[in-house]
Amino acid sequence: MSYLTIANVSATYGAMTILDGIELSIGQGEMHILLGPSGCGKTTLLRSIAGLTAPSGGEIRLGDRRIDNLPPKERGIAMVFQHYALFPNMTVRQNLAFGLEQKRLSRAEVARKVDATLAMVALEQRADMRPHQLSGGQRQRVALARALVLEPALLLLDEPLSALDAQIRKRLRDELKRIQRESGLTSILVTHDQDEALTLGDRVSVMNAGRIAQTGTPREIYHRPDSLFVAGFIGDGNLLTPDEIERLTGIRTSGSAIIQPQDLRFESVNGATATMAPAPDGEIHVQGVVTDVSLSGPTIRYLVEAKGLTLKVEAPNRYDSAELSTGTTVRLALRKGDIHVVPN
Amino acid sequence: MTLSNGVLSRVFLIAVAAVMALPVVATAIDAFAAEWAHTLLPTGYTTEYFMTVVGDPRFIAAMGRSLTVAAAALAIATVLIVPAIVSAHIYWPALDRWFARLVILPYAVPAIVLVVGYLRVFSNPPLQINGTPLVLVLVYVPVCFPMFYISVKNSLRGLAIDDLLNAGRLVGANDAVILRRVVLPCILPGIMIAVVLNFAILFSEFVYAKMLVGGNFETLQLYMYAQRNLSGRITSVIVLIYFILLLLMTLVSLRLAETERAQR
Repeated sequence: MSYLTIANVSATYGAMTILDGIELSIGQGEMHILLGPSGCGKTTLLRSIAGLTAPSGGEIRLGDRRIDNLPPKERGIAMVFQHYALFPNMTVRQNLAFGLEQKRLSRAEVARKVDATLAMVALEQRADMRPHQLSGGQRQRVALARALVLEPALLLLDEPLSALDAQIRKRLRDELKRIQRESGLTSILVTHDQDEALTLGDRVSVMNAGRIAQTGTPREIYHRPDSLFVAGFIGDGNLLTPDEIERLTGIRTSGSAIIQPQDLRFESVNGATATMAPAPDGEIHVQGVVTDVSLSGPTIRYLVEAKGLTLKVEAPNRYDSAELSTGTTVRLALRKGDIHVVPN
Repeated sequence: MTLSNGVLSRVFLIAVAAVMALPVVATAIDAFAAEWAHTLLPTGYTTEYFMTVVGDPRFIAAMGRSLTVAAAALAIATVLIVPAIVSAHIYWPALDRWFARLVILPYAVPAIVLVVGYLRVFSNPPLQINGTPLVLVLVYVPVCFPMFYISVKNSLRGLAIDDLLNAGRLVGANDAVILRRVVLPCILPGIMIAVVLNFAILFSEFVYAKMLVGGNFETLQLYMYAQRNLSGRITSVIVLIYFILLLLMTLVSLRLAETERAQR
């Protein structure tokens, strides 16, 4: 059941095409991510939905209403901005109350809603502070609360976490997810950060040059990219041409294919175990040499030179498993099913 | 090295400050000197001259006129110029670039040239008001523009205005409400600084007052000019009073600038 429907929405700026016939439908309660490099049109699409930018064509429907010709305030949409956009002269409480006052709610009603929303983002203690007295993370929580207090039909988040430093970003990301799940609020979040997209999204739309390249669940987007652009943009996989695939595996594919680094497994090191054992059915073994080792948190990333190709290989980073040093001869194992041919 | 540099820079700072302060201090001493002819410092002090000036109805009247003209001009300037700057900043960036160029106009064109122009404009109908205080009020309005532009524009630059307007529009407020409830309070310290500084400028304005209105309407500066031949003491007292007023205004504007910075 589509709750927000975007049909053939286009936007131009002078001679430039920013959005090129966008088609998208989003279900009720869904957290939908618009992911893409800068300049791909994701923010313009978000602003078109909010009514802050007028698209040059197409139709946007929210619920059973057509909204693309309504002014922003009649769309029932709330938005969280990258740089918070809090009213600097007002306290946290006044920031939240401002929108409710425009709706001419009674003072008691305003106070009740503001208090309830402040509790949701755990900012009751900060209610009478002004934005400049708060940290970046707190400011963004106020901005989120200001959006939530209006009980919008749709919540838009424009890179809400990208102005924050790593630690706070991670915490706020979890909190955002919790609040969105609890409120069941249909949300669209714009980001250029793929980790954020894959963690937060129920579904993700990857955008490129004014078009949606692919829409799918995070798993689909990650493991089954359906274009070279998505395959290159998501994750950090080994993207190989048909010739390279054939050289490596002996299998001829119809197009370029992607092999994720964690799908390449170290079968043996320095020929230690079962060197001559034939590969089991559905598995391919390849001989190679480690050329680079780097630690990235929970995983160790290796570069392995095999059959003239440099492959990225990822192994879990455990304290008791010694990491391989460069120059080590290894045998890599790969399941045939993990070679994903990218349709073109 | 660092220490001697520090000492050296302090010596220079104090020397410069002393040179700048000397005329003011000397004027202040002179204002209260009873006899000051052949000695380094006065031989006696008196408040006689001070009381003479303060008690002179002509001085009080001139002060009153200066205050009135400056206040009237500033009131008109604030009401006209601030909305123009804000709306150009938000809605007409092309116009805003012209405003930025206009800022140098009063400095680039000598006042005397402007005066000649004003004399022509205001000596024919429909605005035949030459020689009246109203002329002074009207010509003071554009004088206020540069200070308003610089100060208000600075405050506006510190605000993410587009985001604020969009945020406000989305929660159901129209632009007028957002401008009144969010933008105006945020730039108010900037407006107040411009008002205070302009007040100081208008208060010490002489050329326009002399050329356009002259003796018909004696402002503080014209009064000072008229007193210049009477006694050096009297002039010193007037300058001192005038200086203290400016000092107070400067303090107020510094205080306002503090408040503005604290809000960021």
